[in-house]
Parts: sequence; structure tokens; C-alpha cells
Amino acid sequence: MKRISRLLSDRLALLSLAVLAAIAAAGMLAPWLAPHPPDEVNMALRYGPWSLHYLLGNDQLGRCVLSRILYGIRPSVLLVLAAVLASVLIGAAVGMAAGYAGGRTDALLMRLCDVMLSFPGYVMTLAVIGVLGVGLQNILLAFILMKWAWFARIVRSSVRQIADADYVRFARTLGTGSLAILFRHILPVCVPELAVVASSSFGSTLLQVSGLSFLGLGIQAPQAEWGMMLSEARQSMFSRPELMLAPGLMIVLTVSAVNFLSDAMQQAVDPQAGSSKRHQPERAEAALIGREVA
Amino acid sequence: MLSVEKIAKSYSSNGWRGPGRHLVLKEVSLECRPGECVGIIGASGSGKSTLGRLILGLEQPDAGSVRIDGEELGRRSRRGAVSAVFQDYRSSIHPFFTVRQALQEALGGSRRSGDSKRESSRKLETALEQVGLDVTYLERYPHELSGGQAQRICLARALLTGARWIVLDEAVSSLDAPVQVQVLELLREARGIYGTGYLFITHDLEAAAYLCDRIAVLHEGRIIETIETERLGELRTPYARELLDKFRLGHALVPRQHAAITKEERE
Amino acid sequence: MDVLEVSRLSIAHAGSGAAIVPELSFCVKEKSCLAIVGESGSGKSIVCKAIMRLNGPALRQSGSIRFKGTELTELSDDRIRGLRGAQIGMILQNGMRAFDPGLRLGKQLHSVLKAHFGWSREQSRERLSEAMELLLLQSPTAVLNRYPHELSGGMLQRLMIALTLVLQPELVIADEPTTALDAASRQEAIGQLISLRRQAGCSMILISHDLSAVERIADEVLVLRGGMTVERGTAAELLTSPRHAYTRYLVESKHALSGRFAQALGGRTHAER
Repeated sequence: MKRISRLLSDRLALLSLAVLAAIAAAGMLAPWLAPHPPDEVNMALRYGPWSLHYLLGNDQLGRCVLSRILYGIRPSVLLVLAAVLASVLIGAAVGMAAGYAGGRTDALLMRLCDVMLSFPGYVMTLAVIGVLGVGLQNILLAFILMKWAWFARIVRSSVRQIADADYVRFARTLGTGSLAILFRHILPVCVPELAVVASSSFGSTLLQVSGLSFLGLGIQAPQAEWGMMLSEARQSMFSRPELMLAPGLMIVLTVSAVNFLSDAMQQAVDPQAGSSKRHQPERAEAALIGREVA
Repeated sequence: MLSVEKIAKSYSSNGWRGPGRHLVLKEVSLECRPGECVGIIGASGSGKSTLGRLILGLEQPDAGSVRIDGEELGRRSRRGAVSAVFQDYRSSIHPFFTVRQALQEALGGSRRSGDSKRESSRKLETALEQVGLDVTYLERYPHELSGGQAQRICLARALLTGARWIVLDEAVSSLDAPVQVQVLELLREARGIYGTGYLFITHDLEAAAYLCDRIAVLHEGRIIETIETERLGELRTPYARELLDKFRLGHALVPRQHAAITKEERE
Repeated sequence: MDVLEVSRLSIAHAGSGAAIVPELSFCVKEKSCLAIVGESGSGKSIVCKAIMRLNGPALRQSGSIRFKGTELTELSDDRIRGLRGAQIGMILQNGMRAFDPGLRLGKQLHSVLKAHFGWSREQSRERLSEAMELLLLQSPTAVLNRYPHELSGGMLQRLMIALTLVLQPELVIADEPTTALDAASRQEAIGQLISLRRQAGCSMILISHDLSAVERIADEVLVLRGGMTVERGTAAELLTSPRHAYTRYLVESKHALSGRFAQALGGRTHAER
């Protein structure tokens, strides 16, 4: 509980949390918040400027940009968040099992990860789509299939390091069971690293989803999605650059907020992060070798 | 009574020398009377830490057994029988726990001890006082503690488990000389109060001589000689004598010409 | 002339400005060994890293450091790097961390010698083997072919000292050279450092909290606490009749630790060495 209060006392974190909560809420309440249906085409209003009725103007087909942004939150943010969380959870479970059990279990699970990781990302996604068809769900499924192995590796090496620590040994001398040790002693110490990795993953996944929608493999028109809106705006980039502003800024805003929040989370969870200087790393090489040697 | 009977332990290794089984402990037997302090001296690689882990039940021996009061103990029953203080004070306490939480863990939940929250709290405070730290330390985090403070807390923690035996695995080796003396003194006091027995595992013969009644020399997986501390000079096996000589040489044995330090001067 | 003259050296945290070492002055005479003694956190390592400009940007230092008359604080980074190793050698605490774990030792040591002297592999190997044999390292060629993780801490330490022997610097800074070693190996390490001094004729700064090492090697002792000088004098004086209470405390503790051991051995003095 101390940690949560510490988190909340960091103003930037608070702000990021508020922004993300607002975005998430807006996405969930889109049907009620959006002033107009997102796919209502009105050619008379093409490229309409900001106005009272259409707060963010109209896009190249006269649709309300604000409504599209709001509806776009669902695929761009909420579903991507769900996908990242799912792969983190699966990866963490596998990683903890492998790291703590060691031996054959570890070897087996890591070889499985190796197999998953050896597929190039986009190829895997295309393969899944080829089998299951286009659509956002399938893209996200492909992401989960790829990313869990990455998280599993990270968690596994974290767990292995931590499992060797003396405080874990002491807990074992108390007769504490393995599950209790995993969840109370090992997992919390993995979380900071995991949080940072997961949040950067969120950013890149969001961009990838947008990229694939752009290729026509994800969200299909006329559904709204920020990446797709960006790509549609690309066609009128020189005549109407302002169309790129709304979706572009939203992506920047969301990814930044997630990153700030994860930084703050890391500081809050680890009582030492953010406190001053750590041990200076040995500048041994510098001392031994008078000059830079290739 | 702690008895180690003909313990053997090997590890499979996949080092650069190629795979194989590495016999760390060949045949180790030791008997310790209740409340006795036995030092186990060995160089790095002699298997002393492995022995410590086997006694704590963290690993199982390939052969032989460890018995406390005649019984081989299971994982849960070891609590209360044997506890430990480890070498690395930086990683001996859960980095996210306060000192209070760390000590509470040793005490166990209220279900186990049947204590109310206030009683538990009092026990924690008493434990801290006994190792010379005041109550404010309860709310600190491990990274805010110095080496000496952390080791004291680890000692308090081990004592709180109520264990009859404490394995001290290089427990003072990472500390400066003055702090070593303080912690060794605390160990001695605690023993006087609780009658806890110690297994003092170390490479430092001097520190072992300070605290222990008896010293066992571990070399290449076997205990080659055991002797009472007062008769240390009578060690006979060649390895033990070599060891003795190395320590004898390092003595800062310069005649004293000053009075003893008072406690205030120490601050 | 003194080999090293440090005047009013101050080191503080760059961010908060909190002082670690308020104002320290000391000097190292030619061919003599100064021991800087203190508990962990007294600032002794930081001071010596400051001499070699090895502290990171998180620490800010001021004051004068003169090495054989040259003001070190005014030299460019390049010149300082050139000094390191050849003129001012460092022997570090943890042998394992001083070397690149991915390269064979011979290769690493040769690259250092090549950088300073331009020697060929053969020359390096010859000189290194000589030095290693002096330090009682058996089969030098075999050792040079190994990777760092294949040797014990004690052997790596010996190797560092051998390298220093070959480099023949004027000043050697040994930072807690015995701390990471087995109590038994410590004596050997101290013996090696004594050999080094004799063979290379260099001056030495020994940083340690191990008074038995200090007693054997050092000529002069500086006691540091919280970055400040507590007492200074010859090793003999300080260790037999320390004047300041803190020094007495350090010496007393050391006596206390060895006390029972000495008793058990029949209380022989170090005169029998």
C-alpha cells in the first residue's frame, strides 16, 4: 500500500494515469460520447474545418474526425492493451515455471520459446492471417503467439537470478512452499523490469497494428482505427496536412502516457529506484589499458 | 544434538572441462552437542557452503543424512530447528520488504504462533533491541542499511524463528574488522541467552577462533581434523598446519600500549 | 620530490552537492608506500579513483593532484589515459572483474603491453612469463592461454600484479587487493605486493581496511573517516601507539579479532616471522 501511495504522489505518473484512464473510458463510452456515427459519409462536408458541430472537422469522406478518434480507441488502445497483457501473462507464467523449476522443464520450455522466436514477426502475422483470414482479432492473436515467448525469456532469466538470492534461500529454510516463494519473493522483484519491457512493447504493438491496418490486413474500412486514419490522411498530406494531426497526436499522447506510467511504476515498486547513486561500475579496463584498444 | 552422518554430495557440471560429476563432499561426519559452536574452516571450493546448504535442508545429500535430535527433518519441520545467516547482506533481505516485514516472516503468521498483532510487534521490538538496534529500524528498507546493521537484522531474524541451530555461512566475512567484532559479540551474547548452537562456516580461522568452541577443517570434501579452539596450535595434518601458518603470519600482533576503548569512543 | 602530492582534494555529488570528501591533502614520497585506512564508506576508494580520473560524471572533484610535478587535473583525457598503466598502475579489488571474460588472458595482457610499448606477441609473452615466475605462478604459458573464469580470484590477482611488474609504473595504487581473497590467500597477495615494490622500485598507495596487510607493507598510514583525515603517521607509530580514538578503535578491533587465535597458539609475537 505504501507503494501505491508513492506512485500517486508522483505528479507525472498521476497525470499519465489520468490521461490513460480518460482515453480508456472514452473508448468504452464511445457510442454515447461520439457526436456522430463514425462512418457517416457526407461528401458535402469533405475536408471540413473545425466547427461547432464537428469539433475536429471532417475527413476526406466528410466523416466526423472526433467520432472516428473516439471509436478508434477501441481497436487502437483497448484491444492492443488486452493483447499485450495476455502475452505478458502467458509469458510470465511460462518464464516463472521455467526459471524456478530449472532442469528439464526449463530446457523444454526454452526450446519452445526458441521455436516461436525464430519466426520473423511479420511473416508469422501474415501466416496467421493467411490461415484465419483478415481482421483485428487475428492480428492480435498473431501478436500474442509471437510475443509471449519474448516475455517468457525475460522473466525466466530474471527468475533464475533472483532464485539464487540469499533472501529466497532464507524463505526456503522457513519451509515456505514454492508457490508462495514465486509469488511473494520472486515475482514482485521481476515486475519493474517486466513493466518497462511491457510498456515499450505496447507502443510498438500499437504501431504495428496500425501498420497492418494500413496494409489492409487488419481493421477494414470503414471501421475507425488511428493507424488507418493516418494512412488515409497520407493521401492528402500536402493539401490537407491537418488531417494527420488528430490521429498522430493521439498515438503520441497514448504511447507517452504509457511510458511515463511504467517508469513511475518501476520507481514505486522498487524502493531503491530513484534514490541516489548506485555502486560505480568498475572502470577496470580503463585502469589497466592506458588507451582505447580495439 | 545435530549430527551429520557420512554425507556425500556431487553436482553435475558442464564446465569448459566437459561434462561430468563433480564430487564436492566425499564423506563428511560431524556431531554437535546442543548449544555448541562449531567452526567449519575451508578454502573456496572445499565444499563448505554446500555442507551448510545440506544442513539447512536446501538440498538433499546423495548419501548419508543430517539428523537433529535423532530425526531427519522434512522441509517444514526444519523451521524452528535450524536457521541461517548468509554472507551477502545486500541480498539477504527481500528488497521490497521493510525490516518489520522481514522479521515478521521469520516469526510466522499469527495463525502459527497464536499471537495478537501487538504481541508480535513486541516480539519484533525485543529482537531488535537484543541486537542493539532501536525500534526505528523496523520501518527501514534493506538498501538503507549498512552491512553491520543488515547482518544484525539477519541475526535477529534467525533468532526469531526459534531455531536451536543457526548456520552462519561466512556471516561476518563481508564486514569491516570493527563491525565483525560487534557482530561476533552479539552472536556470543545471543548464545548465552538462548542457548542456540552455531555452525560457523568460514575461511577465516581468526573469526572462527573468536567465537567457536571447536574447529573442524574441511579439505577436498572431507573433514580432515577437528580440535578444540584452545588447542588450535596442536593441529597435526599437513594441510591444517599449512593453514595455521598462513594465519599466524598475518598477525598484527603488536604489543598494546593503550587502554581499552570505551563504548562512547566507538561512536 | 614527492611522487604524488594531493592538495585540498574535494569530491562531492554532482547533483546534490553533498560532500563526500571535504578537503583532503596528502603526499606519497618516492619509493615509499602510503596506506589509506578506513572502514567501508570512508571514501578511500573514491579518492584513489579521483587521482586517475576514474569516477563517473556523478561525482564532481576539485583541488590539485600533482604527479611528479605535473598537475594531473589540467591534463586532457587523452594524456591521462596515457599515464594510466604505464606511469600510474592500478591493482583492483576483484580480479574477476578486471578482465574481459570473453578473451584469453594472454591476448588481453598483450594488447595492453602493445598499446604502451609496441611489443610483439613474443616479447609480451617473454616479459610476462618472467614476471609471473617471479610471483610464483607456475607454467605461465598455460595460464596465459586461459580465460578469466578458469582461474581463481587469487591467481587473477597475481596476474594483475605481474602485469604491473612488467609495466613498471612509478606509482601503483592497490585498491583493497586482499579483500576479495580467502584469508589464507591474503598473505600470499601481500607477499607479492612486497615483491612488486622491491622489483619495480615504485611507490605505492595501498587502500585497505585490513590492518595486517597494512602492517606488513606500508611505511606511512593515513586514517580516513567520512572523507576526512583522522590521523597520519608512520605505520609503526600508528599501529603500536595510535593517538586518535578512532585509530585506537580500529587497531583494538583488529587485536580483539586475533586475540583468541593468538592465545590458542600460545601467544607468540610476530617477531618470529
